[in-house]
Amino acid sequence: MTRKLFGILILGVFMLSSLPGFCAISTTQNVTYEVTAINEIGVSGDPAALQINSATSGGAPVAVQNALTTYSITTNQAGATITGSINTNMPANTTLSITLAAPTGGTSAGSQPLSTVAATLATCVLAVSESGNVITYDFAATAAAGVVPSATKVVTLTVVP
Amino acid sequence: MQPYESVSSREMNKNTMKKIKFTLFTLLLVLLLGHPLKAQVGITSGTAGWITLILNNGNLSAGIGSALVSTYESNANQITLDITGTLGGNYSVNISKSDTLWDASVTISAKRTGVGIGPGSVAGGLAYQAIGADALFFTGTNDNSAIDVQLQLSGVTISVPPNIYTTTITFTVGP
Repeated sequence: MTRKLFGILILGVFMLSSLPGFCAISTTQNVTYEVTAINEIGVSGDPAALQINSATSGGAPVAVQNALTTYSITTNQAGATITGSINTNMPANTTLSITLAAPTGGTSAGSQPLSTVAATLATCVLAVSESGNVITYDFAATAAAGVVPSATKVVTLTVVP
Repeated sequence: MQPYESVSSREMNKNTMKKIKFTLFTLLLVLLLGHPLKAQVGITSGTAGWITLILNNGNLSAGIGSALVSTYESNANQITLDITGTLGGNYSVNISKSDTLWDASVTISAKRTGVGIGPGSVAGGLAYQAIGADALFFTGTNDNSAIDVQLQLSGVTISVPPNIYTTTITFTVGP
């Protein structure tokens, strides 16, 4: 029994001695990055002046349109909407409307009259980053508007998450 | 009772215990002298990790309407590894990650940017490799310290939802 015990112990010594040099040891490092909400919109420039200066006999003054400006947008929040407003309301019997082309994968609300109250103009169903989306302005007036002096309105477009 | 036989049994037990003790001592000595110490890997700088890289509208590649810059690199020595206890032997360093919250479209990669300081040598790991399941990163021989590692985030797009994303990178040294 004793001899067997010695034999097992000696065998164990040699087996342990033949083990590889070291065991695996680890260390760790944490990596963190943050993506914040990104909602940016810009326009290509100001449209030319919208001037109503003609009418058909017996009819209302002829409305005018400008579709030569565009908007750019970057948003990483799916479902964001684009709203629009003007700084002061239009004179009586005149209407300034705006239509935004739908962003890719999104929808347009069509022609919307502008006022000091923000109106939803388009919805971004997906996160999107693109440029060159057409903005269409329509300016209409009834005969009751009379002569309306030239004025400037500031249109504010906002991406709302 | 046979006194002579009883004394003889006690003598035998004492001798047995002495032999066992001697053998255990020998075993311990062999383990200490013949069995090398465990190799260690540690991080001596950048202990806070590559943290809080904030991607915002300042990271758009070309202003409004453009996409986010897709690739970001850390400092070349964002992580510094020390390999010790090799007793001149060969070793390999593996790398892996475990996500707490991660966007599947974003890849984190690592590459070795330095050879370290010390009597050892290192090889491999000089090109960015995506970190995922446990995989070989680089190999070496003998102890070396201050082996620099650089990290890279790639595949970042506007489709990555706003959030804080964290993963834990593990470096494992083995034979």
